[in-house]
Amino acid sequence: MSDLLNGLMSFARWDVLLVLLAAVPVGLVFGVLPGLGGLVALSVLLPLVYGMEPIVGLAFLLASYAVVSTGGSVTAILLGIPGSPSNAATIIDGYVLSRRGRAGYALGAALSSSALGGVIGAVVLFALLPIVRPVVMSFGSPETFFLALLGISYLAMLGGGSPIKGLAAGALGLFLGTFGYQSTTGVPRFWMEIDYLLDGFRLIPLALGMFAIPEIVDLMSGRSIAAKRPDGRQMEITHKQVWLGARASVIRKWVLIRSSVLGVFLGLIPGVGSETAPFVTYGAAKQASKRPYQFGKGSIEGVIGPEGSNNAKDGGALVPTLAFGVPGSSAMVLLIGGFLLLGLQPGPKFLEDNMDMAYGLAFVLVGANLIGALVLLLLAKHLAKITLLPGHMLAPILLTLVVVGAYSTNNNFGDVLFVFIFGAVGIAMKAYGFSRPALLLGFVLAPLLETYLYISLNTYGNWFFLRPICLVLALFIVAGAVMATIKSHKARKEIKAEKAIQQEEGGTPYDMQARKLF
Amino acid sequence: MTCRQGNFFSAAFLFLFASTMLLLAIFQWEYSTKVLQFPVLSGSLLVLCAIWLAIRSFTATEKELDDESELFSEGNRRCSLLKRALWLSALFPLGYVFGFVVGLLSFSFAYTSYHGLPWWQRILTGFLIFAVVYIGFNELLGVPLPIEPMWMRE
Repeated sequence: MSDLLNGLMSFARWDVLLVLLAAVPVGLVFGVLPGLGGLVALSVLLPLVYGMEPIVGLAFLLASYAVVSTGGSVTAILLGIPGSPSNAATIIDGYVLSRRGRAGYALGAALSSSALGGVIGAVVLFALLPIVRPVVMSFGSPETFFLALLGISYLAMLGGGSPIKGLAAGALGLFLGTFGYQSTTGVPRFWMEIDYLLDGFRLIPLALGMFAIPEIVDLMSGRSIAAKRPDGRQMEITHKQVWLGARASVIRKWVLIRSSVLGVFLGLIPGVGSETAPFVTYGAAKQASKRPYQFGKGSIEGVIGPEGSNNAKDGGALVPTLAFGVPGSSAMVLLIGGFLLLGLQPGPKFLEDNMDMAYGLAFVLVGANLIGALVLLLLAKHLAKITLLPGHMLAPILLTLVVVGAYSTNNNFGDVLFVFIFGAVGIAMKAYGFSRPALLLGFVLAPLLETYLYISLNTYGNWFFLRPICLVLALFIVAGAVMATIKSHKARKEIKAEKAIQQEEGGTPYDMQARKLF
Repeated sequence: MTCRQGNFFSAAFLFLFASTMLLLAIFQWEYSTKVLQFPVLSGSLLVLCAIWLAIRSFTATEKELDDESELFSEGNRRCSLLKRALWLSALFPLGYVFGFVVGLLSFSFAYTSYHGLPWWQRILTGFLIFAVVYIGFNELLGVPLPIEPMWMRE
């Protein structure tokens, strides 16, 4: 308890609070600009902390990193471009809401879910720090493999109207994920004598091509992002919409809590969390929803799900980082660099000697998430006006962001070229109803599945899946699939009933929902 | 192209892509079993899905396939899908040859002028692009972008 109080005291220092206020806007900018993300933010900011007092320097790094996903959700919702790869799942429903002129509503829900998810992540961090060792140590390669398999089980769920198209897109993602060096043997596969392909396809060009290019092509028709009213007037974006969105995430508290806890859990397992968590929580939210058929068509639960996990996973990823010195995600590698730069070595000894500082960092996580969301919530009404700009004006600006964002990741023109190649694939996928998020999820999970399957088979033999946690996870996967089948039967009945009402009253079910809200 | 044809061609593309890659891997590049295990698993799943999709493109009703597809917004004759594709294809060579400032700015001015945007919107768009590329990424964030034209780079 005294450590907790000491942690609070170290957080409440004026210099830490000042650094927090400076770091949050910086992190938000890195999040809003496509292609940059948390990894780039930390790598750019790392040298700046040299010479700072440890808690101040770490607060600066952690606060700027914690709000990157929050900033990215703005770009994802307003422009249909993932600010960072972890925001890609938010586009599915968030951008659809923007196109309906309900950007304020989606932003309100996303930002408040992000903030609350981040707070839940920090609370879990508080709770786990003293007892973390057995939890993380119980997850070996077989368990991690089953976690990745849990993600794969959501592929068909991400397929929207057609599960087989979701599965096909996921399989394509899995297959594309096998290009380049195999991590276990070091043999390059399918590289066709093209040097760029030795490292395989890269995530950022894939995400930008899949999501941004098709939306920009759509904008090149000249329309604005937000649809106009039937009388030709522009939709109004008000603070009330933003407030209603924020309220929606509180009303749907179970979606938020479930997503956040799942996000923390996925963040906790090194190498699994950062890009996977939002898709898995999106699938879980759809699976648990009473109206799964609304996902992909502007469901607010489809925004709350991934955004709830986006910031929560950072709390989870901090647990192994602080407790074992094992980075919970790729960005945490750089955070460990920050620790070393400031003369600290994260690990069991760090927790023994500096538990108050660990708690202080958890408070930083809470503070940064709340300040970041509050800043953007206040600006949301004005930011959402971007959706009213003419498409011909937005298209070149967005293309610039995409090109520069893709290039700046590796300083490689190949990445820019592949944005356009994947863009062409994305256009075809959008036109014929293939799930782009499923492809991205498959791509992210492929190396995890392959590596952990290989290690599991070699270390534990063919019966590795009989370990207790594996069996529990397998049970989750099977139960999820059964529940999804039952729900899809129910959903089909509901769709029929809603269509009947719609025919009687006129207008779509969403129009009716919107009338109730506004 | 109708929705049915599009679905069939997508399935055919997936089938050809996965099967060609797998056949090349086995017979041409001769990867070992250890290297090929996972690609064969995922590739076979893709091939099976492609076959299923090809069959489905004939058996599903036109309405089902239409409901799944997402149409792109239609604009005036200056915004046909072909012209949009041409604009996009011009961007990479412009950026590569003339650098990100000149290349992207010239793309922006050409694009906004072609679509008849008012002069102030053209200038504002150009200024925003300059601000993002040069001031934001290059100067403030210190990202080493190819600002100069190709012949001036080291």
